[in-house]
Amino acid sequence: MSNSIALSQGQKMIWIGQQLYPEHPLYSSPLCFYFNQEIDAGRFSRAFEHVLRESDALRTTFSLESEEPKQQLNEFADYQLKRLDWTAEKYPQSKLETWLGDRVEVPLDVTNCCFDTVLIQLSPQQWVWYFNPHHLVMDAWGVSVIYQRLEVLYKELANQQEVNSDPLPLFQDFLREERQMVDDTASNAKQTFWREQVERLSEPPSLFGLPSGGHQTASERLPIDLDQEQQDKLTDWCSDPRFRHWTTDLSRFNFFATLLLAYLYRVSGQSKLAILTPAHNRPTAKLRNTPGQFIELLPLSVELRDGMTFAELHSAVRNNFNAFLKHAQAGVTQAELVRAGKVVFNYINTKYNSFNDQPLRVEWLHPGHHDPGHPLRLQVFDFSGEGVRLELDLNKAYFPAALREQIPLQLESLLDTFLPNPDQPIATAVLGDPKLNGRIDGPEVEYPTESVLALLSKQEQQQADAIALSLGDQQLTYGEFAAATNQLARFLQERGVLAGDRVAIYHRRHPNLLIAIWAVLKAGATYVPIAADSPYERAKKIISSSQARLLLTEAQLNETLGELALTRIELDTDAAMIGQQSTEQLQLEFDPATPAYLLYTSGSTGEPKGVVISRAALANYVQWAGQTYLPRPKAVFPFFTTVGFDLTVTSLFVPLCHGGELRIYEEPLPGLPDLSLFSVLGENRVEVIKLTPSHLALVKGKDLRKCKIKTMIVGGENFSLELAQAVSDQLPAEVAIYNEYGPTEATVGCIVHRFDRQRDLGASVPIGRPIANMGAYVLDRGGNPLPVGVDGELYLSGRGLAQGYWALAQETAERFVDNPWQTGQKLYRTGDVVRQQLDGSLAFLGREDRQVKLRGFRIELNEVEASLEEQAELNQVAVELLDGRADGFALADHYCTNCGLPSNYPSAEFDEEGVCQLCRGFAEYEAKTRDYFRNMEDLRALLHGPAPETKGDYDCMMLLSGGKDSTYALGQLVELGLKVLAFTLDNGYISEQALANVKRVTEELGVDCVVGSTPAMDAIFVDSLQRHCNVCNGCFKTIYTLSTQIALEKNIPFIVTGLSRGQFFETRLTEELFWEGKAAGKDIDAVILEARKLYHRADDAVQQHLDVSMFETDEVFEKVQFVDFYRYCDATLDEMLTYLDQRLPWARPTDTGRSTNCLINQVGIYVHKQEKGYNNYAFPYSWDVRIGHKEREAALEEINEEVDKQEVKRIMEEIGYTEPTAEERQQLVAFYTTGQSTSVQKLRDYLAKRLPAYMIPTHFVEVADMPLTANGKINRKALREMKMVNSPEAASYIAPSTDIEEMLAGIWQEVLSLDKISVEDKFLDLGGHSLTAIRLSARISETLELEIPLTVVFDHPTIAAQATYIESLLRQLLEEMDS
Amino acid sequence: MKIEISTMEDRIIDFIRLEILGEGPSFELDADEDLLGSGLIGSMDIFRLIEFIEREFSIKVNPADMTIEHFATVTALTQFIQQQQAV
Repeated sequence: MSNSIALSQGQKMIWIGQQLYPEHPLYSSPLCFYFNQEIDAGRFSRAFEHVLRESDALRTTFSLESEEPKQQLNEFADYQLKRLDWTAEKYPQSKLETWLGDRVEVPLDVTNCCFDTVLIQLSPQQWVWYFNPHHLVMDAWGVSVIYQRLEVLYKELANQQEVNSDPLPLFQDFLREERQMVDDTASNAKQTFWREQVERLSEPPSLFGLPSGGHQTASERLPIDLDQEQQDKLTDWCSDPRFRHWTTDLSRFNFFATLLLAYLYRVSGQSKLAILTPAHNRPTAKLRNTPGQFIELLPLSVELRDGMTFAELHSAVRNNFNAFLKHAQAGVTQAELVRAGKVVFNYINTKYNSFNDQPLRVEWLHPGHHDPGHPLRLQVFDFSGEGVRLELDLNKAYFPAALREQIPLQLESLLDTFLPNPDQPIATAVLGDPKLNGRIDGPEVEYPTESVLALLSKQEQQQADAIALSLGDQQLTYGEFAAATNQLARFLQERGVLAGDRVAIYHRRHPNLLIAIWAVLKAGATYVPIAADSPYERAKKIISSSQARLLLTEAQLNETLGELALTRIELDTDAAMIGQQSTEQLQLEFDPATPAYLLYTSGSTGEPKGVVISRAALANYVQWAGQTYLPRPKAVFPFFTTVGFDLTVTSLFVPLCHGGELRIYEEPLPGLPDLSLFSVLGENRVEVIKLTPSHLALVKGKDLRKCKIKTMIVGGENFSLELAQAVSDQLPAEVAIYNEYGPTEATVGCIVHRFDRQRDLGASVPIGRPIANMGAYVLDRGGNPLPVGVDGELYLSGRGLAQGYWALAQETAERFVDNPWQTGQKLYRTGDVVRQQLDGSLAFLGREDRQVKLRGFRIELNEVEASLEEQAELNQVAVELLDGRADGFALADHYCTNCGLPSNYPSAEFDEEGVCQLCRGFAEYEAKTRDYFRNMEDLRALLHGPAPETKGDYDCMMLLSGGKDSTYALGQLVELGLKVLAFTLDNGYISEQALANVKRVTEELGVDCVVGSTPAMDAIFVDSLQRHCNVCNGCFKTIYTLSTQIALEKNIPFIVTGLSRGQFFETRLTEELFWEGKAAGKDIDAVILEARKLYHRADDAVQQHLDVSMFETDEVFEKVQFVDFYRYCDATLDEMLTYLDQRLPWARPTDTGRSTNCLINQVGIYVHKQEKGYNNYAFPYSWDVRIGHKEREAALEEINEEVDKQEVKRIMEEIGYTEPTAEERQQLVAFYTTGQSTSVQKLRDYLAKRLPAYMIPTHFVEVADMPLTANGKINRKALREMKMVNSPEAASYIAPSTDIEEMLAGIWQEVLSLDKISVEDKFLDLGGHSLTAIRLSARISETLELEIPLTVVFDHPTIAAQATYIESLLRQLLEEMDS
Repeated sequence: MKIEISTMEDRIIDFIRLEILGEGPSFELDADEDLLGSGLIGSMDIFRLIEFIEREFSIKVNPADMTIEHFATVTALTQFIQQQQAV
């Protein structure tokens, strides 16, 4: 198959798309050229056939060869352009339309011919050339090249038979170049750019909150016709110095890309967005003249800020598109880039001016389908040069028809706003037609009365003997209730209570509480309820703030209040006094505007705000609720929630106003848990119940089949669909479940939805539509009504609106604003984010303040919660954004009296003498460590060992930092008669004086010295700071890697380190290595070597930036051995300093201002202290002290030394390290309760299928009980304050289930210093590293009396996996023993 | 200094003439000729030009500097490159 060629990257993307939907013409590009002139059909055909011979792209077909798509070049020698003559047709034009409609939908068979073309004659002067190439071989620019060549040839053939002009360049030339560019490493930087582009993005956001359209390819093309005025404004824009770019096309591109991104921001609600747009890949004149498929879709991404104006976004888009063009190069695209956005922007800059010197018209036809991965495409083109034309391709399955109609209008409305007003914030522009947007009215109903008293008194008269209230065995008839309320009302009036006065009520649930409420109303006053479990301070605040004239209470609660300056009536003890009043009915006519109640809600500031609800507002709600909710007028209703919460208003008024029975469930004394919900259900008397979703979650899983409840009203919180489904499954099918939405400020409930098990979709039950005489508006930040599908803030209007906040004029003015659409009316700003769904109902998306931003992503915590709630084993879920720093770290309040280890070092423990466990442990095994150490004679023998012919010019390499330890070591090696090569890493921050030491000492000793460096040093520092919170890890690894490279090159068998003995214990020598039977140095060396291999093969910046290929096989570890000088030498500090002083020109570096020879060191110390709370030198220094190489006081002084912050910041900036801000440290934390065990991995996997990665919580914390507020809502404040066990291992816990797992868990806990480890937790996730791995494998080996290689720890990273491995190992051993 | 500027201009003009326009040395291109307005070079060409000057004059052209002002003429471009080199 010599003429088979691989596909270009751009072609591959199209091929994959077409393979997914082989039946549909996704990638056909049909065009119609309308000629109003006589065409010489023969000549036209010859011209086309000639083009075909020239254009190899057109003659390409495709096939699969061993599963790989390949393209072949064909001859098409006998090809003849098809012609149709419709001059005899009666209606040739309509015939053409029908014909085209059918023709464009026929998919091209790319194995046979990648284009379809026909020349049609409609009349002598009307010809149409239909040309439909497959996108695999032709892009839009390529079509124009074909067309221009066709025209040239048509003209040329008029006068002669032979063609003299130059033929078209070949597409194959490009394919070859493209292949080279893909393989060319020089394009790495460009590929990195694109990889980073997608890494910054996440899953493309949903548009209009719509679910994915799936795999339906059918789409509709809708034009946006710009009139002359709009075209003129666009022309002005493109020449405005603020906005114009190099060419008009570029200026237009930037405008429309900005427009599209602004639109996406509005309809997706996300601020991090990408559109896909083709890179043209025709950088040279030759390529511009080559027909073929060159384009590749690449993402153009931006991040929008709140309040951003169009001009600001335009500037970001222009810059990002410049970067886009700079990095665009044939071959860079990949599937993940093409899938980085849901929206494609095609700016087509081809022109079709004339044919054969006559004007023509060109139409780009829609084949009726397009790639469903990109449900929205915007095409902008200007074929005639007379002005741009916009066309939207909208996937039919994704966008319902009603929405498709709106999209062009909405996009155009943004264009009309921003062309003249580029400085307007994007979030405030009118979207679509405001008249059609965002207002939903409830039914207008004239109810019989505006007074609940009228409703009650009707019941009192009509059914005086019916039960009004009951509590346990006590009952009160309507007649008795009327008498009691009349008496108390008279009593209040006698005490001076006037209409409009406030009377506070502080009483537990009891008939007296109902009597008090209704008596206050009968007296014409306003009741101020105080929850019985309110803290004293809050109760007092409400009483004083409401300026209550009187307090109605009960003796037991009254006692708790202490001194108060107002009259207090104890309804129990003062009963006799009140009973002296007449039971006669009072005059009950009051102004409907008189407040019925003043209800305090928590304000965002923490100060309670009193909401003033009028009698008319209350009556409107109560009458609507009675009609809607009551299964029968006299239904039994429970009263089991607190009066401090407006949810309870339903129970206090609806049953009594309609003649039903209110069943009261007593509440406990403050401080005791309120379990009355269980009494309500257990007693099973009530038929209607009002409760919160959190209440419902408590009964999830209970058998409710025999429950008498007919109507369940759920309110107060977001009602997740999952909970609704679970509860409805538990209840008899006929039970009506209502989701009632309403802030206190709009009287209990003002928007309602009856849950529909079959039809309701989404994360939460919709909140539905406004109730009678209420209205809802969805508005953007500029106060414009929003169309269906677009998130906005909910505003409420209507009779139920509160009169405002009591005595808080400013807060009232902020939240109750003038209704611009209804003069004299108010709108209440809810702060709730909602969206109008296609069926007109409203979906609750969250609080404005439950909407959080995490690394630029807007996240609705409710959405994450709802998705988690779908997990059957979870009961309650709350997700919060918390500061994820390992905070809570204590300051060091003690230092080991022996070694100086600080108390905030992880797992530090001290005995009564203040000595740490490391010192105590070391005392036990110190004697055994002596075997590990050798003497200088051993060193001489080792380094002189290899025969001269096996090595190069040097016996060994010394890693020289210029500090005392390595300089002393170098001197000693030279004295041993060794030929040494010194290696020093110039990491860019090594002190000048240390470098000078290196130079002087090596010169003095006559030693060759290599000073290595790498351009990747900064990247390695940054990576090391991010991974280890220090710079040393990265620096050391760089030294080891570069020195190994040189040793290999120069055939040097040994690399000698100047690590101190303290550093040995810090990094390699663990206690376990010295256990009985293990002490032989050889074994230890073998284990250390294994650890070393793992170390070099770990993924980090060194791995990414330096050549580490030599570490891939074990050979390098045989060829080059690492030798620690101080394993052989135990010179004291004094000996070393004396030697250096007398023998070498060495001076202690002083230019770092610290006891270090590296300036960047303090950056590591600073970051480590910031992130972990203690100095990273605390541990190694403790070892130096422990083994007697350092004084405790000196160590303490050093670890507590202040760093020079200014210098640290300067270096951070220099190397490009940005400290995580408080915001960046934020992490999502999911709290949950569950009755069964579940694994965090399972929760994570589950969410990963449903949510974009940025919405998946970092931590999952199981709590025994979800903290609830007095109102039965999740207590988020308590959650946020909950001492978060900030480690992933605390998140899920699967206990060990076998003996082996049990044994392993014990060892893991010890080695990792953790209390509880799940058998599914991964070793590395728990903070394990090669040192701990050594300890782990040694301990397991010890326990099992079996050799467990170190690699097992990494190959089997969980307790469960290790247990499986060990079990099989044991089985194998048993079998071997048997046989 | 004078010589340096004209060398820089010449090198840019050579690149435009040869690599972008595919013309021979006889093609006249003035350092003050309007490159963009005349349609002499297109937006795609400018990115090749950017690649060229980044390589040739060891500077980095940031997306925010890709403006008409800097690329209108060879003279303007030369000034821009010198500013960048001075930084």
